[in-house]
Amino acid sequence: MYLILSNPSVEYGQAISHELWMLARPRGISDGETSQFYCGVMSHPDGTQVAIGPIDSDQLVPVHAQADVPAFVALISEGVTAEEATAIESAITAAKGGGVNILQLVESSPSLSPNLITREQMEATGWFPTDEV
Amino acid sequence: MTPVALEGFKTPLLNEYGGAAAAYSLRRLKSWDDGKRVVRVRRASDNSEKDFTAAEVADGTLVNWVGAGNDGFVSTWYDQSGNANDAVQATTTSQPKIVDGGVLVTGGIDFDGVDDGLFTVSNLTDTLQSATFFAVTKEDTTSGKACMVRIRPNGAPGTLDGFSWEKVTDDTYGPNTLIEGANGAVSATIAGQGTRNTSKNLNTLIYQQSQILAYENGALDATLNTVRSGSVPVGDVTLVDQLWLGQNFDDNARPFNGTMSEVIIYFTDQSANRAAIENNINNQYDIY
Repeated sequence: MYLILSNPSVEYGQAISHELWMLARPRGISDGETSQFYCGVMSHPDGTQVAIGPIDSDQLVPVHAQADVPAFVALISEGVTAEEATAIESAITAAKGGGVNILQLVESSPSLSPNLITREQMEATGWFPTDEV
Repeated sequence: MTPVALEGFKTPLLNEYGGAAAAYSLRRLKSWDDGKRVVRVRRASDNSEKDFTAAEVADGTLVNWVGAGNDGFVSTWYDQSGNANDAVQATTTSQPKIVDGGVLVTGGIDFDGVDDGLFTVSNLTDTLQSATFFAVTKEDTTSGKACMVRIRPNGAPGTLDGFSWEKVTDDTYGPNTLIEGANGAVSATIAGQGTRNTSKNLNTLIYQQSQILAYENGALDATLNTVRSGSVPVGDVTLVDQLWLGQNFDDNARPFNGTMSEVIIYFTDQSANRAAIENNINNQYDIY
């Protein structure tokens, strides 16, 4: 699954993907590592939408004990209600030392879940140009 | 004094055939220095990363570090040409796999055909008239488009310089296999050329001014000479893009599904050395 973002900005998508990875490998631990993003960021050729993904249904993102959860929640707060933000922060904080299923978090958010899209739906709606070289 | 060849010691490929623009492999391609790293791996168990030499890949050090039953992913495939054109992938879900369930992947680095790929951080900038790609790959499928090697931004023929090798369903050389320069672009036919298969292959593409000579396993497989735009000779090719392996991350994807063992790129016509380089590669991988 992929998630269409509330803000159609590639930079915003990269920031979310980066902060998701910082949950697993916080700053200070991941410094100097190549891996810096949880998932990819793609923009629709018409420029109106940006999505992140793939978000695997069965993948747990490990949450490091030193993860800066408020930093991640602050980044997504513009796309969710205050209550949803609190619930997401609580779920991730509770998962420190373990793992969190990002797709389940998204699906549990009424603001985010309608924006989930499959790869097939993206291909059918022109996300990946077929005629370009 | 003539150097004496010591039995059992092979001169690394790039020491014999220098001048590569970029060279990726899990074997040592250059110098006698066994301490040179060839790959950086992230292990999924704790997401830490570590560099490995060719010897450490071969002798089990890499697999032991990843751990029994665990997966390891390539975050950096180091360029052995000396040009620091390392191919990286900072997005963890797009990193190709090198250790699967505690076992070294057979055939090199495994791209998932969904979103895996590697690319240089910086653009390759150069002006040239020809190029040669050598690639050892094995596909899991013969359907769909697959961006194998690319140094060209996205855009219709006639708009952007560069080189590309892209497969399409059933064809080894899709119409987006091209060289484009200041005067025009030459490519495979629109219908595609070559018979795509799932065997391990050594493909050599020599991009010349009016044609692309495509060799498979040491034999000429196809001559690609469709003028896609402008006129031939195509003229100076001015490169201003990253080098992409296994997927075109500029935006149209086309992910490769299979393994890559080795990719060596020259920004020159290596026709004179082609057979010798192919023999060196084939001696390593026993392809044909």
